[in-house]
Amino acid sequence: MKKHLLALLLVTATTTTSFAALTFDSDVPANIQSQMVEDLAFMAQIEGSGQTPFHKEIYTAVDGKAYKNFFETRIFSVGLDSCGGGAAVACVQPFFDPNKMWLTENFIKFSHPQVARSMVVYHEARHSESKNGNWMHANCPRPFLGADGKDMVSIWTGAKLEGQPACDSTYKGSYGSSTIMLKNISKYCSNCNEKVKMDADIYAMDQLNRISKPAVKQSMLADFAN
Amino acid sequence: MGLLLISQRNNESLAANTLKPSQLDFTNSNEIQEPAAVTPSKNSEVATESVSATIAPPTLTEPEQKLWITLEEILKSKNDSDARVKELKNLTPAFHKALIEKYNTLKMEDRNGRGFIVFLVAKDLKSAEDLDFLQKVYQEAPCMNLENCNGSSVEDNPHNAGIDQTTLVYPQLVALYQIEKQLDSHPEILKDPALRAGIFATLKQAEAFPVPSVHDRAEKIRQKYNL
Repeated sequence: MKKHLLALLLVTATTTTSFAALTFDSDVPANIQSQMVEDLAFMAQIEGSGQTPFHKEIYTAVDGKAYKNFFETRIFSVGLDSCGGGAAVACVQPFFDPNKMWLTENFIKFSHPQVARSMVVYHEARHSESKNGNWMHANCPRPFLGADGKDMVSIWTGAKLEGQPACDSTYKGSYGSSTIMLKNISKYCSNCNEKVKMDADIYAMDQLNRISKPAVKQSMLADFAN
Repeated sequence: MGLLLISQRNNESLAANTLKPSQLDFTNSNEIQEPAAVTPSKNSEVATESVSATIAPPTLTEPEQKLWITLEEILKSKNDSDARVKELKNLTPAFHKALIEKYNTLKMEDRNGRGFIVFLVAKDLKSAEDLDFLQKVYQEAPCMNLENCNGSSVEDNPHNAGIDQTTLVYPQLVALYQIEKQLDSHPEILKDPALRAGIFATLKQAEAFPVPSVHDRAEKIRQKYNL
C-alpha cells in the first residue's frame, strides 16, 4: 500500500537539530530507522569544551552541529542490505552510490553501545568521499604486530590481520577519523554522561590498533594529549 | 525546541526498483544476481528479557525504587545517552546487590546491558560483594558471537572485527576501565586491606580470562599499582 509517511520527532534542545531530510528506503524496518534517527540525534546534540588539532582539521569542533554537518553532507539516504553478510552493521558501497548508507539487521540486533554504533556510522560516512578516493583502507603490514610484539589476530578465529585491507596508514582515513572523533568525545564532550564518555574511550583505543604506521599512531597519541 | 524530520518517500516502488549492493556481482561484470535475502525479519531485535513491568526490588527504599524504574527504562530503551544515567550514582549497597541480581537475569548476548550494570557497580566499589561480582564477570565463558554467545565464533570480516570483538568482551573491559579510573583518581583505596585484596583478586581473575585485550590490560593495571 502506497502511502506517504511523515514521522515527526520533537527533540528538546537549545539549538535546532533538524536534519535535512534523510530518506530511508521503505524496506528499512521501523525499529532500525528509529535507532538510526536516535543515534544521529545523539550526535547532533553533543556539546564540547574543546577539541584536538586533528579533530579540528577533520570535523572542526566537538559539537553537534559539526557532526550533523559532517554526516548530512556525505550521506543522503539509507537502505537495508547484508553488507557482505556476517557481523556487518553498516556499509557504504562507494562504486554503487557513495552517498547511500546501508544498514543491516545487526544494527539493532547486536548489543553494541550507542557510541560504538555511531562510530561505525561515521566511519562508513567517511568512505563516501569520492574526491578522497573514498579513504579506501590500506593493507595491514606483514607482519602486523601489536604493542606486545605479537601478531594482530582475530581473537576467535585466529585469522591474522596482516595483508588484509583493514588498516589505515593515515589519521584521516575512516579508522583514523572515527578514532579521533571518539577520543575527542571522551575528552571534551561536556553534556555526555559518564558511560558514553567511557565507551568512546574504550572503542577509540581499540580502533587505534588499526593504524598501521607507528609514526602516524604516535602523532595521534600526541594529538590526544592536547 | 528542535524538529527532527524524517520523510519516508514513496515506498514500495523505491524498494522494489532499488538495487542493493548484495545483488550485484562485481566479479562477473556487474551481473545482477538473485535478490539477496535481506527482507526484514519480524523480529529484527535481539530478544531481551522483558522488563518485568518495572517492579522495583522490595528491598530498596522508596526513592531507590524510583531510581530503579529509571534504570529499567534506560535498559529497555538502550539509550546510552539518556541524561538520567547521571542520577545513578552514590548507590547504596542494597542497590548494588539488586544490580548484581539484575545482571544475572540479562541474556549473555545483551553485552551493552550487562556492561551497563558492570559500569554502575565498578565505578563505585563499595564492598567485598562488589568485587566478588566482578570476579564472576571474569569467570564467565567468553561470548563467542554477538548473535549467540554459546554458538561458534563467526568468520570475522576484518573490516569490522574490531568493534565486534570489543563488544564481545565489553562487560569485562568496562570493569577494568572503571577499576583503573578509580585507582588513578583515588589510589588511597588501596590502603584498605579488604579492597586491596579484592582488587588484586579481580585483576588476577581478569588475567585468566582467555582474551588478550582483557588479560593484557588487567596485567598492566596490576603492574602499574604494584599489586
